[in-house]
Amino acid sequence: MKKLKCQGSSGHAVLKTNFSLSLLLVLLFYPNFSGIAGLRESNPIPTYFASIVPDQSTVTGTITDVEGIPLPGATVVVKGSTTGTTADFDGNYSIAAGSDATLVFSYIGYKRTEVRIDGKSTVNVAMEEDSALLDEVVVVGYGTQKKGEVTAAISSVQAEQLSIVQTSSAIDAVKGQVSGVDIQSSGGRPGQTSTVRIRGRRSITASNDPLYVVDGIPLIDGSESMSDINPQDIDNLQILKDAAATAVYGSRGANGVILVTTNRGKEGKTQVRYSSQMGLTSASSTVDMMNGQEYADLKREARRTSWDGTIPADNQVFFDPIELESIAQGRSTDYLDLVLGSGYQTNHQLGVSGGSDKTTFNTSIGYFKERGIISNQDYERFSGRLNVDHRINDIFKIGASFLISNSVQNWGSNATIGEALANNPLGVPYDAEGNIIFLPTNDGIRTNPLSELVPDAYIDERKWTRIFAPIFLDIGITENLKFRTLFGPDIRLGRRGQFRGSLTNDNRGGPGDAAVTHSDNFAYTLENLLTFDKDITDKQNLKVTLLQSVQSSRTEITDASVTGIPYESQSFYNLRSADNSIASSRLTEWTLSSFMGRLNYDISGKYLFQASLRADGSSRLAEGNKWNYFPGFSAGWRISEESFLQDTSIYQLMLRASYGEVGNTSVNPYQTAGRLEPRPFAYGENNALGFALSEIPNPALGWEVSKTLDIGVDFGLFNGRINGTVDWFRTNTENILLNRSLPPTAGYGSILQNIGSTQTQGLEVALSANILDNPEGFTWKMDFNIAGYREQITELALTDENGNPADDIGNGWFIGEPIQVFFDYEKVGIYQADEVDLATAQEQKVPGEIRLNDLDGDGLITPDDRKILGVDTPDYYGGLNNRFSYKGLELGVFFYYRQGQTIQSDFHAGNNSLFARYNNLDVDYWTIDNPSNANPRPNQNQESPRNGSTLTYFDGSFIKLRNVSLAYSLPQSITEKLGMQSLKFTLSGQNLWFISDYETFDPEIGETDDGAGAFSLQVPGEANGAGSLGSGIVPSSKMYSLTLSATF
Amino acid sequence: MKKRIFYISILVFGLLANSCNDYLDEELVTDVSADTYYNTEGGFQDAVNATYSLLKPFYGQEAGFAMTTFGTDIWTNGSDGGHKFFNFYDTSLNASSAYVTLAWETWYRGINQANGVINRSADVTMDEAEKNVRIAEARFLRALYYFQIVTTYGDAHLSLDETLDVEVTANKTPQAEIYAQAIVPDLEFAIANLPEEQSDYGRATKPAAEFLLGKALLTRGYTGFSESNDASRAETLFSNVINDYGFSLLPNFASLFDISNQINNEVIFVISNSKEQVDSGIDTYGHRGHLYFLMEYDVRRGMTRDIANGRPWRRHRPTEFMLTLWDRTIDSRYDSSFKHVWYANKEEPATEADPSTGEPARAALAIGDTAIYIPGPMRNDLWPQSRQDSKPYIVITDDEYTEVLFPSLNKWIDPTRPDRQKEQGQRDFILMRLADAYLLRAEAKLQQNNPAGAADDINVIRERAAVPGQEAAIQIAAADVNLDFLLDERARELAGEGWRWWDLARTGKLVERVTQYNPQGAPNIKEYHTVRPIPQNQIDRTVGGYPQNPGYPQ
Repeated sequence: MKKLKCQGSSGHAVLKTNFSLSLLLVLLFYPNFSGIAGLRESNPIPTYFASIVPDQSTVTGTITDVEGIPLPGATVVVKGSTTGTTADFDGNYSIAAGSDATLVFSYIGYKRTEVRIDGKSTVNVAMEEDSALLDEVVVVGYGTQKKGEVTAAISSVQAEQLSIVQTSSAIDAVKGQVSGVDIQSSGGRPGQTSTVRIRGRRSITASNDPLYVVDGIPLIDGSESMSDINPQDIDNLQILKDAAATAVYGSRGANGVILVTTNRGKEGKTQVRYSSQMGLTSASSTVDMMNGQEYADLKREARRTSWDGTIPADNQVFFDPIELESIAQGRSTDYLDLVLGSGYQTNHQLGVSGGSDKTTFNTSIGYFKERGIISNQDYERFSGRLNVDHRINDIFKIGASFLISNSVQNWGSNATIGEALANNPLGVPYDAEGNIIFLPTNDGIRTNPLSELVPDAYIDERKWTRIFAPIFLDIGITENLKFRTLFGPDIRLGRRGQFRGSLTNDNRGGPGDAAVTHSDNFAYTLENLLTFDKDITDKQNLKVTLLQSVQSSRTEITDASVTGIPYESQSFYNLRSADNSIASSRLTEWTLSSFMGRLNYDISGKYLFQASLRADGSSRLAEGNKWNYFPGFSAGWRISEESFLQDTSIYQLMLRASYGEVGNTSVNPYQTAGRLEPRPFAYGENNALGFALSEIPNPALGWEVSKTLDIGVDFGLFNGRINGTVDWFRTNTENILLNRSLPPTAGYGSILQNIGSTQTQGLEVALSANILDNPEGFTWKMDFNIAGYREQITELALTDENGNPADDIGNGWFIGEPIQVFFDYEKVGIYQADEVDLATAQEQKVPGEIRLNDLDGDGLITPDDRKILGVDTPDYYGGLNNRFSYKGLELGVFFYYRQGQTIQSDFHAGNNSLFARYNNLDVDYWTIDNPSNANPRPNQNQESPRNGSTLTYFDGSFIKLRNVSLAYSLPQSITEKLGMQSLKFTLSGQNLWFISDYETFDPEIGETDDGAGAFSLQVPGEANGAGSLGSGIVPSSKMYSLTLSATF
Repeated sequence: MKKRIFYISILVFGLLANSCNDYLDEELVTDVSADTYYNTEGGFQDAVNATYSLLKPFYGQEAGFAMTTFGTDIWTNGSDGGHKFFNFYDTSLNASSAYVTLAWETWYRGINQANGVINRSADVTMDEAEKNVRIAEARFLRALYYFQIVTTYGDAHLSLDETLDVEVTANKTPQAEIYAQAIVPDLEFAIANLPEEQSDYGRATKPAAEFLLGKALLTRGYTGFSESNDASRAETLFSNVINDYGFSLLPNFASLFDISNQINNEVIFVISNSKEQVDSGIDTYGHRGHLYFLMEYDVRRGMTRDIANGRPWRRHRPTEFMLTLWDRTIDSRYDSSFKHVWYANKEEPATEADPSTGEPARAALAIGDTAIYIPGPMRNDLWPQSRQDSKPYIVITDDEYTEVLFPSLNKWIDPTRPDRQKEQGQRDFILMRLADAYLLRAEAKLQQNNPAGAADDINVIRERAAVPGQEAAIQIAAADVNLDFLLDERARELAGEGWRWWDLARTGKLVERVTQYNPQGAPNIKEYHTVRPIPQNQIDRTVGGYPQNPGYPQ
């Protein structure tokens, strides 16, 4: 037996916590000290200086815009001091300043203007409108557009938003920040991928994962492979939501597109950036399991001879001496507390950027590591990046991005939490010498969760190497005609090594087993893009984009697994020594060929039109159905450019409407072919592998097509103090890929067909406001977003006798209801002692069992008494982010919320079976003396109570404090002395608090993850059944962290 | 400008070069499809193998044991498992029950697979004689699947063609038609075309086909649509099996279940499992019978779970009735079928008496000492409490059996498993053995009012089972034989082998015997329980619906 000394024991944890607390306290106060010091010193100094400056005088003037209209409320500050004032209603100001001082004028929506006084006593300023906001260039897919001219629903996320939350993944970082983008993580495993749904789901069977396009190249493996990219290397994300925007991606755009642009160099002085973050993590919430005494009572009750019978003597209840010993001593083991410890997260990044007029570059190296709150789970990533752009001459320009990363994730044992929850608390984890007892009780199923954590006892190590290197060549053929060719190879190599020793839950004392899986993916994209951009008249602009593109992906997976490992020290590095081995491999290839044309036309930048058409051919579909066309149209009217809005508080207003059709190519490769299923068989000991019919070939398999209508308004009020976007959309998805269930007598369970349709309708609102804006004083910015959608199935494979669409109860699909509903009986209580006859008549049950709702009132519980108990989609979700700043201090508070979804909790199914063989959630259960209506009577003769599924539905609504942070930037006067441009300290707390009715580790749940991910030998199936929380989930963690960032 | 045109031309060329047509062709490399593979010889053989392999999800699995063992006169439930409703006959035994669905789905998959083999055989070029044998095997298996369907569900869907397109309708064909169109002609074809022996162990043979046709005709003989010569034809077929192929009863009943003696003269047809496939995990089914019949020995004094004693899932325990069936003074089969002694596999210190529980003081146990002893039926008098208390080991007498402590069937014990947790055992699942052929022939004779002939067959079995020296005493007379006696004899011989529920359903004795002998099933069992419910997914997915069997919630 291996020793595990004091690992995760409470003493250690306390020490760690104390250390971290003191660290945090010091750091918490440090900025305040300096802040106070700063106040003390900086306030008197200007007055002191003022008194000794002889020609201090009053300067007056008027602040107007370029057309002479006064700008009331504009601020004036004497540069390098805290002296400042604001303009009155007529735009007039008056300020005391030295004759050689410089005045700084600022006003929201206008360019900051600096004017030297030069001895003048009157300084009038005409401020220029800052059109940067509208001229900001946005990447829109195969090109860029000015922000103010975008006519589709696109949300932008800037680097600073990505840095609010400290995490390994950019996707996780934007959670709650973008309206209409629903991101859910599945527990607290380091490096685990989140589930991303843009505007809900459309497809029942095919993937609902969005397409990621990094520097123009679509990624393989979607959400999962995004974790190879260091979020700090990202300049911005553009999330294309409506079909007019995504139609240029045709068959891959159905689930929305996330365009990722990495940092590129800028001409000028070379800049060095360094940031470092260190955080300490612990479980954000834990669950209440029974202690020894409570469990003993449960076990006694479970052995009551009948519901109103007697409880046998303890020697007929407890057969294990250790149980009786624990009861006698009042001893109890809290396994959850033993396995959950504290983890940490650290993140370092060093970047250098700069360049000349010909060549610019931006390079960085990054290191991220997160150790989980369960000791053998961690994630580590090294990443390096170099972006170079070089102008060869007036005609040619080349550019390359090169990204390389290497990550190692130790997945850890799925059994750790499962065993910690289920182990009998009367068992004892350690023997007298402090060794782990592998089977703490004599129940052979329940192994000690601590044995999963013994170093090298259980290994599931996933390594990924990613090389991603798009290269482009731009040719300026004429001033208006530009050509770009882009080639992007994308290589992802994975290796998963698994080893499970003898003393793990998987082997329970049997010999160890091991497996090595290699996944080798090579994909490339080759694109040729021709762009024509010309002002036809001085008022009309025309832009034409033509694209030809091919993409191809090839994945090879090889897997070797063995059982019966002779000596465990080899881990998974000597598979040949084992008794039994299985080798398998698979090849998956697909190709996509595309042509796209797009036309943009605008009149005076006021009336904007866009039309596009993409043709896609996919190898995944059967002959004759390979090609399809995806059109998109949009139009916008910048009402704020019209003269009738010039003198109002409406600063910006655009009305947009769009329509587009996109496809879902996510038929898995080979699904049309009618593949055979290998089935092992043997004649005697002679292997006789069989190949069985398992799919009906479907040569008619085609695209799933989503048609989206979107109407949106972008607005800016009060000189841009309040900006917002409202979008309404309706998506009809037709010909959805549906595993049409067949009656089993057909010999097949289902066939994948284009049958049925869904409709999703939603509303999204995003608002940002500069509530207080004093550049030299207090500012308060708030971002708020909320989105909600209704999803419904409008057509299915089944029809009733009149040919109308009919519910598919077998699959739990109902016309007019969302894709995932929870359809079951409803629990109304527990049969009480005086309801014997009712219990027998209605359900053949006895008191103490779950009483179901007899919906149709016929006195019997039949399948007709089932109903839809809830849906897994939220009513609404979004985030609220507040940022307050004063001088160099900045406080951020960010909430994330999701309301109205129902959770089906496998966690409860597994841990509230009231079977009394394993530990149970500490719930109120029925006994003859406790007529509870909450939970049924424990019973040793059940693996779960009859209709126990009715106990697993919960309201999953939550509000989370995603992040609260306090940052302090050292004043420039100090950083200059240190030779720095800036230096900033940030103290933040993540996931510190949440509120939810659902009592487990975390109500937030991504879709089911079998854990094999890209290493799966099966062609990946799609799990669209969210809302089910597994019993082996890892608790999510909260983190306190400190970040230092500096630029030189 | 010329330069520019040159560049553009190069690029346009590049653009055209990569848009050739076969770029989008999809080539199946890793997998293979029926249309390209089944028409090759190798593919055809693999299609036949697959038809056999579809027997595995039911036989030797919890599904098979739960559906054939629970809810009978001789077996009731132990403490564990989620499928006890098959024993209780309560409302959980409904159209949504997992195993009811699994059996139906798997068997229809087997039928479709067999249909595919038969339908596609014309396209295969190979040795015609061998091909004919393979077709006969497929028809044997199709008959077997249909026989399981009708004896489990009654009237059901009948199709003799492979499903090639979306099929959303289904028929409910009377059993009589399924016998007439599928089971009987398929087996007649199989008998005519199968060899007496196959070089591959586990393939269907002529005697296996005769056995199955005999059993099918015998079964039909009890129904309203029986044909007049069903029983006599059955008798002839079983006589062929018994006389023509050199099968013989093993001299010792116990050696039948010796794991090193699985291939023996008594075996007619098995579903074969490969130890290598099972141990390596390629075969996820194997024979799991070793799990289900064991009591909770592993938490008792001196005992811990190990490979030799097995993993006790305590699903099935004997009814009191079954334990009365053997006269142990003359019949060896109780002693050969059940485990009596568990030897300590961990040391145990001496324990003090505990007056509060009545537990006596017990001496220490060394490894190898007796730790648990079950004297078994007819031995209670020998073990008064005082004698039990005087032993260092635990003694469990007849009156002390519970859902966790009971005589444990040891027929399927598999001590060759690589570790004590391994669920898949290597045993072949015996579908047909010679003793059963004798008992079925006895049943066929009894159907023809020939109790003397039946007694002769039963005596062959009993003589083999006799305690040495009791060969004469164990013999029975014609007057002793009736259907109940025959069923009792089948219990004595075949307990736990997976036929009981079908035996009772076939002979019309299910309700009577469960009511009489199975206290857990007695309160709820009704006449309609002699067939299982049609699975809900069949009903839900069939356009126009599919009729539920009478009695179950409609």
